Parts: sequence; structure tokens; C-alpha cells
Amino acid sequence: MERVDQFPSHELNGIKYRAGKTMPFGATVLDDSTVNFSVYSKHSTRCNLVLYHAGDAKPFIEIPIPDEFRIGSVYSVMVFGLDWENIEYGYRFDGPYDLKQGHCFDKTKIVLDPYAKLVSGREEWHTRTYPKKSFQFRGRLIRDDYDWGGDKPLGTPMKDLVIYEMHVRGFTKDESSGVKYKGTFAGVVEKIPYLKELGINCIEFMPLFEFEEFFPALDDVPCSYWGYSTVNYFSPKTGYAAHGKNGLAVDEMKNMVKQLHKNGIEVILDIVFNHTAEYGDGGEYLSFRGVDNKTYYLMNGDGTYSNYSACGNTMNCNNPIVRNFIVDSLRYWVSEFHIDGFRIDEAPIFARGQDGEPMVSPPLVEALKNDPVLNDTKLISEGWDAAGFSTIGKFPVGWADWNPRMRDTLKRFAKGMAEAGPELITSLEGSPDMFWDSGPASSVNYVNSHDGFTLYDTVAYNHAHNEGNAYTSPMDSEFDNCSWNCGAEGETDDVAVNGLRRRQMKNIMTLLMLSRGVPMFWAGDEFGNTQYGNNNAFSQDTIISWLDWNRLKEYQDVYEYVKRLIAFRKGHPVIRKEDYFNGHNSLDYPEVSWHGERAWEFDRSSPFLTFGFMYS
Amino acid sequence: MLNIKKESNGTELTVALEGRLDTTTAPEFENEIKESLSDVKELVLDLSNLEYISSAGLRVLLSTQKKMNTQGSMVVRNAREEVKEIFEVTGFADILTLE
Repeated sequence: MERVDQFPSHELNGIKYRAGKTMPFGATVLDDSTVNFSVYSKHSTRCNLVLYHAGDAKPFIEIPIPDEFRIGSVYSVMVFGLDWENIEYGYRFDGPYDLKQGHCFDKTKIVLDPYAKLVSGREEWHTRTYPKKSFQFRGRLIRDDYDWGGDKPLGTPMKDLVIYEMHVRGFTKDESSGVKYKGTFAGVVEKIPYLKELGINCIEFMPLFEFEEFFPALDDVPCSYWGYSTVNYFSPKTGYAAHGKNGLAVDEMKNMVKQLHKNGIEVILDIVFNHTAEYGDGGEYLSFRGVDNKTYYLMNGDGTYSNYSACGNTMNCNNPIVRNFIVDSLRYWVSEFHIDGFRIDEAPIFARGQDGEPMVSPPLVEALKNDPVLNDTKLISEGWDAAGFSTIGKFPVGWADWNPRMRDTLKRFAKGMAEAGPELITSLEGSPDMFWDSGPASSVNYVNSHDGFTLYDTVAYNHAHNEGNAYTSPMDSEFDNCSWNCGAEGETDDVAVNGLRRRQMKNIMTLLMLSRGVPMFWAGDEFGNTQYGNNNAFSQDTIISWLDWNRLKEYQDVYEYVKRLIAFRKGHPVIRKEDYFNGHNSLDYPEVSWHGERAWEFDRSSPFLTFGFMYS
Repeated sequence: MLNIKKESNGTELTVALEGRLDTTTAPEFENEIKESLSDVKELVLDLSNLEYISSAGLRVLLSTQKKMNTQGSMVVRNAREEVKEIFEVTGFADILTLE
């Protein structure tokens, strides 16, 4: 039966259209050639929909959306006769320009729909499809139907996870990966047998929403490799798809999730809502700035951008519109991509109010755990922002935190700092002092991640070697790596030093995998991957960041050891306890006990270098 | 553009596609196939001359496969390397029967 609300009422240069449906936001393909467009902008005075044939410099039509098509602050229009796969779209907004009031509309700019489900402009990694300063990130249309074959988020209990942090491109980009589709979602799929053998059951992906690989203040040579400059929060990174050019990034990413799930591996996404790729004062108009700056960004009274993220701008996360936007995004990833959880970058910004100050009960943080779609979704916070606000252990029950105390304490102890001992014991217990209300599974225990040294570099370098980075940062000299090079800086032929490094890697992984809480490690650490002493490889689209799979042979013993540790952890529920209760078992032993040089004799509050612990 | 050639042999139908299967041609393919499937037990799609398949194209193949699952079988034959790659990276290779 045909719908009665899908017939045109207006026409412009042969393109037929009518008032659209206000909800849902974004562009929705309704049938073979009809598309509904809907976009929010409270403070604008006019909005035009701009349509391009994909690849064209100039639009083929620009439709001024009449006032009668606007309900509340939402413009919507339904357009007929579109070859939707080969269309790109954007919006042109007019409105006030008064930065002190938070407004900076510019009708000369065409900007990306914040709710676009696919974005063109960087289909090929680190390559511009359209010139700088032009309308370079364009919305594309997708069909959201996908044959999931019965899949859904896996629902593995948080306490049972072994998390593997990974960069999609870095994981298989190097020749040594041996895969066909290097540096892509499909490349990850090719490595599933390896991941399964290793035994991890969750991948935490570094950002894979559409992001910007160019630095605004630099020429086009350096690469912003990590992905923390988000352009859009509903679309997968097209440059991570083998056939991103053909508009297949959505299908390719869904396939990756489906295949990982089939093999018992959950998918957590590192999401970056604290700032966007538009940077701060004088930054480019890509999307939010041109759609409704005052809604999306925290501004200072003098008309400059607040910068709690240290990345130029700060998203106005507790503005009700932005709050809904964030919830919509996360619901979309969970319901349409079957994502199992999120790691929230600089999460305290979720807890800042519209004045930038920390809130007592931030509604966004509370809303997520009580959302109808998201209430089973794992939420992990990076609990510190660049302005010194920490929320570790302070978010509601059900949230987890990256635990930086575990990270530093374990490394310090491993290199021989006796004074780190007492804190290490508390960390191995699952940090009850930090997570008493919610339990050990709220502590994501890690030693190495994308930030800082790899495991091997932790035992091979005393100092950061970041000379090749795009620019200097405090990480170069001010960050405490808590590392020890075992007697030589970097690569060496010294047999004793290399032997010690292997033992140290095993020591560190042993303590990590036997700790209560949820262990996480950085991809490649299981075979001694190196970043050649770089502790901040954000701009290294080179072998420094890419995994060197040749080392898997070289460090086979470390790999086998880590594999067994993971299996051991999985085989012993007592390590994965979900509470801090430490009663005696049927043999009358405490479930975990701590010992000094003599069994049962241990002063855990004074510095020590020798201790034993027993799970029972 | 898409050329569709059909060859029927009892309950077996072979459909050869030539050109591109995308948003503009997928509806045409869908209509053509809908008309011819009623008594077919074995459907063969010959893709040797299919140059390109888009996201919309993948979906009509899949919906055809779903129809055939209820009345017989469907195989996809002679796909070119580029088309095969698209099946592979999107996971459609696992759902379709490729020969």
C-alpha cells in the first residue's frame, strides 16, 4: 500500500519535494528514490538543503527549506527522484554572528549534518577528496538494513572480560601482518583466528567514527593517526573500509562486529565527545559550528572557545540538545552496529555543566546507565580531563574506569621500587578504596595502552623518543613513564639485558592477569611490539605505530606465556570475583591471601620487594 | 546500466548480469526476477560480466537469496575479482553461495 504522505507538493528546477517528517533526525532513505532530511538548528534564521552528485564541486540543487516545513527548531524536507547512493548533501545556515552570544553563522559555508550516517571526504586514508576549506566532509546516504543472522551484543559479564586495545589501521597495516586487506575492518576479520587463539574476548577499538587525519595548523604531510579529531558521531571511518570509496564502510564495519561476535569477542568503541575536529577560535566550519555553535560548544564570556579538552574546543555535553544527541549516537551504535560498550575519552567533560563547572549529579552520566537501549551497555570512563578534573570512581554504579594507579604502581614495583608495594596490593585486590560501591569489575586494570610506552618499551627505554612526531607535547619530557630499560636504552645485543626484558614483560603481564578487576592490554604487547621508545605516537602512521608481526616469532615465548595467563585467568573464577568479599572457602582458606618472605607473615603497609599471594 | 539475460530450463533459471548493479538498476533487477521466480527451484546468477555492485546491489542479491531459500537454491557464479572482494569485505560471501 502506498503511503499518503509521500507525494511532492513543491518543485524547483525539476526536483520535487515536500514538507519532510521531523523525526528521525538525519537523512533517511524511504524508498528507491525518496529521501527524508531533518536537521536541528535553534538559532538560525534560514536553512537550505544542498545536494551534490557525488564527486562534483558544485551542487545540482539547493533547496531553501520554507518556514512552513519547520517545526520547533527542526527543518525537514522530503525530496523525490534521488539516486541516493550517488548523492552527497549538506546544509547552508544563515543566522546571527556574535561570538559573545555564542553565535557564528556563516551563510557562505555548507556544513555536514551532525546526524549523517556516512561521510565522504576521506574515503582514502589521509587523502583529501575535496580541497581544503571547501565543503569537504559531505553527508552520504545509506540503507540501514543488514542481515545480522541472529547476532546481538554478547552480554559477557564485565568481570570476565580480557580487553585488547587496538587501532584498526595499525593492527594490520604493515606487510608483516600477512593479511589481504591491510589496515581495514576486513583486516581485523582476517586476524580473528589469531585473536581467538590468544584468548582475548573483547576489543576496545581506538576511535573509528569519521575523523580528520590532517592537522589544521600544519601542512598535509603529518598524519593525525590516532583518530581523536571526530568529524561525525554516527558514521564509521570510511578510510578503514577496504571499499570505503564505494560507500561500503557501514556494511564492512557491521561485518567486522558480526564476525567478532561469532567468535565470542565483544566490541567496545573509544568515543570522543569531549571535543570535535573543528578546533577552537578561528577553526574551520565542518559541521557543528555552522549548524548551531551555541548549542554544541562551551564558550567563554569573551566569545572564545572553552578548552577543557586541550584540543581547542569543548562540547557542551550537558546542554539538553547535545545530551540527546550523545544518547542518540550511542543508541544508534548499539542498536544498528551491535556495539557492546564504550570507552569515553576525557569522560569528566560528560560531568561539566553548561558553565563548564563540574556538576554534582551530571544528568548525562546518570541518563546513560538508565537508558532503555543502553542499560546493558558497558561504559568505561577515562576519568580525567586536560583541565585537571578527575571523576575516577565517582560515576554511578555500573560505570567502570581506566585505572591509572594500577598502571603506574605495577610498573614502579616491577622495576624495583619497594615503596610501590603497598599500593600494588590494593590495586591487585581490585582497588576497593576506589570502587567500593561498584566492585572490582569497575576497575579496568592496565599497564600499557595507546597512551605511553608499549610493554616492551616499558622495559627497554628510560626516556621517551618522540623526535619524529608532528609537534612537541608534554609527553616528550614531563610524563612519568615509570619505565626501566634493564640496562641499555633501546635495542641492544646484550644477551643479559634482553633476557631480563623478556622476564620483566612476563612479570608485568603475570601481575596484570592475576589481578582482580578487568585486565586490558595494548595490541602487540603479547609479542613484545615496540614503538621504538615513542610514548605518544599520535602522528606516527609508520612502523612506529603499526604492529610488527615479525616480532611474534622473535617473542614467541612471551606470546605463549601471555596466552597461558589468559587461559589461566579464564579458568579460575576466584580471580574474577565481582565483589570484594574475601571470606574463607570450604578448605578454610581466604579466597585471596597475602604473604611475605614467610607464609602468612606480611606487613602490607611498609615498602617491600618480595611478596606472595594465593587464590584459593 | 544493466543488461539482464534470462535462460530457463525447466525449474532451473540462469540469469546473466552485465554492467552495474546499483541504486538505478537494482529496482529493475528486482522487478525482472520477481516475475520469473515462481516455479524456479534452482537459480543461477552468472556475474561474469558484472562490473560493479553497490550496497543497493548487494541487498537485492540477498533478498533474492532469501526468497530462494524458501523454494529451492541460489548460486552466484563467475563473479569478477573486484565483485568477489566486495562480497568478502561486507560478509555477503558468507551468506551467498559463491561458485
